[in-house]
Amino acid sequence: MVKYITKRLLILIPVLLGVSFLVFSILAMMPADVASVQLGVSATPEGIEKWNEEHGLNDPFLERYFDYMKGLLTGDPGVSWSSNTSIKTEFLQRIPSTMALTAGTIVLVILLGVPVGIISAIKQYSIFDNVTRLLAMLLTSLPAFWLGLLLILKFSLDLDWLPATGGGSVLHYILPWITLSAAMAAQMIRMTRSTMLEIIRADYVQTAKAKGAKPMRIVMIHELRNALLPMVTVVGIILGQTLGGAIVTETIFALPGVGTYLLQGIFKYDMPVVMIGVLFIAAVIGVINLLIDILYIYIDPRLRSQIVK
Amino acid sequence: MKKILSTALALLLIISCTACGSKDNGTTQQDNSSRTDVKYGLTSDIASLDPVYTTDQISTILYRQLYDTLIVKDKDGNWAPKLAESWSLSDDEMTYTFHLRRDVKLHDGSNMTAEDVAYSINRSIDSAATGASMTNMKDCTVVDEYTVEVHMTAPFAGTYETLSTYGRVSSANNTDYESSPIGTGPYKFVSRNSGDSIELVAFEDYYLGEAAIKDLTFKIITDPTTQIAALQKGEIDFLTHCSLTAKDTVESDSHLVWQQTLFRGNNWLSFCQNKPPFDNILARKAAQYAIDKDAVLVGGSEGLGVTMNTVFPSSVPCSPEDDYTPPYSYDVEKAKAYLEQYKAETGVSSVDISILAPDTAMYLYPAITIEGMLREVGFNVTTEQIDRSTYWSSVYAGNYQLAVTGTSWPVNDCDGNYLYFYSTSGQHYFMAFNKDMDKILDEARVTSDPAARKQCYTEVQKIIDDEAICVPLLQPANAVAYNADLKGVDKQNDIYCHFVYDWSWQ
Repeated sequence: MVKYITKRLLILIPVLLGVSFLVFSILAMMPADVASVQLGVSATPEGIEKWNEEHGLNDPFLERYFDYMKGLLTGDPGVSWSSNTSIKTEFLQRIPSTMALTAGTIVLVILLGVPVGIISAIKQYSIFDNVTRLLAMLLTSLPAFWLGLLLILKFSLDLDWLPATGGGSVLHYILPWITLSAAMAAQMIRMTRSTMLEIIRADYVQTAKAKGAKPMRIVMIHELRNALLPMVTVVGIILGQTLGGAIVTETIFALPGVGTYLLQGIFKYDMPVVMIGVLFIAAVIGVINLLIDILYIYIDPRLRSQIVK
Repeated sequence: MKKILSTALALLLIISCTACGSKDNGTTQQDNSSRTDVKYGLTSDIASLDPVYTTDQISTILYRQLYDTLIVKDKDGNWAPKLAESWSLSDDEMTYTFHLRRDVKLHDGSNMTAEDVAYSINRSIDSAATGASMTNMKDCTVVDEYTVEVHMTAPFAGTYETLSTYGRVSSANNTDYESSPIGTGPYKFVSRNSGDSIELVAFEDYYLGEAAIKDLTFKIITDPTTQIAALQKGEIDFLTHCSLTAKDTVESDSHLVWQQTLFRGNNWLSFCQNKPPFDNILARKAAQYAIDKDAVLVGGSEGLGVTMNTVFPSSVPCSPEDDYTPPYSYDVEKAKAYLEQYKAETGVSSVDISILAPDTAMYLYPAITIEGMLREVGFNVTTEQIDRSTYWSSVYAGNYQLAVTGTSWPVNDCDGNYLYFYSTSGQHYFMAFNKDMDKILDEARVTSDPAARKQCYTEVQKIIDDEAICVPLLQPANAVAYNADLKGVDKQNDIYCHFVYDWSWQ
């Protein structure tokens, strides 16, 4: 087991290196003159030259890449090009916000998606099932930026129940959680429902029924256990999506997270900021995939026996 | 099927009810009279707390609270003392002498001396961002503990403007501007949470007395709709760089004030003269006559602002704008005639051009409006929209045919346009290289008589029109919105130049 995890973690290294090289190359190939963007309208040619020299832009491409990676690997992602502040300090300040947003969202997605999906499947074609399916379709089609603004207008301005902007307390996160989880909860419901429907018709469920097992036992032990595998896969995919969706949600609710940091970096052509943002997301998704795979081993005895061998 | 349909309709009804629920009161009424804090909404994060790091407007809002300057312009447009109590200019206009106040304390509690002032101004001269705007300024030297001299390489009439903009005084002993800036202003730095907020507190030893607003928090909200929602909800009290589309919402809310001023900046349509068709004056003239500026104002700035006859807005000292009659007017027939003449002269049958535009509203919307006008007179036009960084580098490098560009007058002096129109300057993206214009721009720079300078800039505009170098377009409006109980907000000031020191709650 330890060997398996170590192996998977080692595979992450070339993946991240590849991502870093790819993103660095794309940023380096952009036709923009970085110095004149950073220095603003009143920059002089001398000022631009000085800026380029200070930021090592006159060096050859590979040298720049290795310098950057050397800094990054020794724990120093450098200084932001647009704001002259330490990226390490700023980035660390922004991680908790994004973590709170994604963690809350995924909890909400599971708490809502799994039970509703199961009931929907068991009571197929009932009113509950029909309403759920319709709602799920509606929620998937609502763009997050629109839903977020609507929620602000209703629950912050009109009813005055919840704050509209910023982080800090749990209250601040309620609207962002709902906004971000809406589409994903719908996805979860649909996935759980269809998986459960498949399993309900499986032979072993029929056998359990024939043996006279109680309905609750059938659902929890026989059906859900077997449905877990595809559901865990969906949770993994959703976690990846939340990180992407966080950019929009953070912007609407003025949450100081990794997403807005990355966006601001892209707008201002801030190479070190974009790099750290992209690498962070890539690393988190890599680790999530690993966790999901480990979960598979616990859920599926067939996989476990393979690993033990 | 019927069941599903009825459920769907019921749901739709519920959602639409939620969406357009009654909105009788926007802002929650509360008693503000005893408050001593202000939450100031910013539309993007600041770049730096270092006063010479950037010329960006959002950062400038903070600089104004943290750092004072030697002099300041009063309500009548005269120079008034601030850190300097008196000043004089030598007869050859090469040396400015400033006598400093003796009671000014820095945020670390020490006395401000000539050392700090000279250090700050020299830093500004050496800075890559502000250095180019410190026109003709050589250095600043200490004469005695409370006197400094600013030496020039050549006279420049806009020096007081430059010093009141970029001569922000900070401590000479400061090493870390980002986490502990030491200034002379009415507010001192407390903390900064990247992307979220910046906190300042009133400086108790401020030489003009402690500010009425004690706690000043800047809150960063980037989404325009959320900004207005936060303002209506009272999560912020003041919003800078307000989206013009929010005008009706703010004005219909009795607890808010909409304060609209002209943006201290203007835009123009630039022709790049290093490639066809705009290397030929006939094509440039055709475009000049094709532009309906009133329509550009509507399309480009919601109809809020003014159209321009020159490239110098009338709010900038010595501007010829108010007395200038432009030789061009909106005339489709003339435009078509010039374009036909161009086609005949060069032998081309179709004039294909592309307008380059960035993703920023101030330049993109006018560009889109202009595309239609040029098509109407016979140009074959496309608009190419690219990200703002690539846009500016392409323009500066002369890799474009047509682009809406402009300036925001960081230093409020007509000399600001030197940068764009002088042949050898870094940002001469017109590729026009006119020697006569260079001569007049140089002359205007060293002339001190306002009437003579205005004459110079009139000449500059005449050359711009004779050669059809660019089409002056708009001075757009911009706005701030704030809580109606907030008193003392300067009604005329540029939106990024407000002093929170003057404010109080009623």
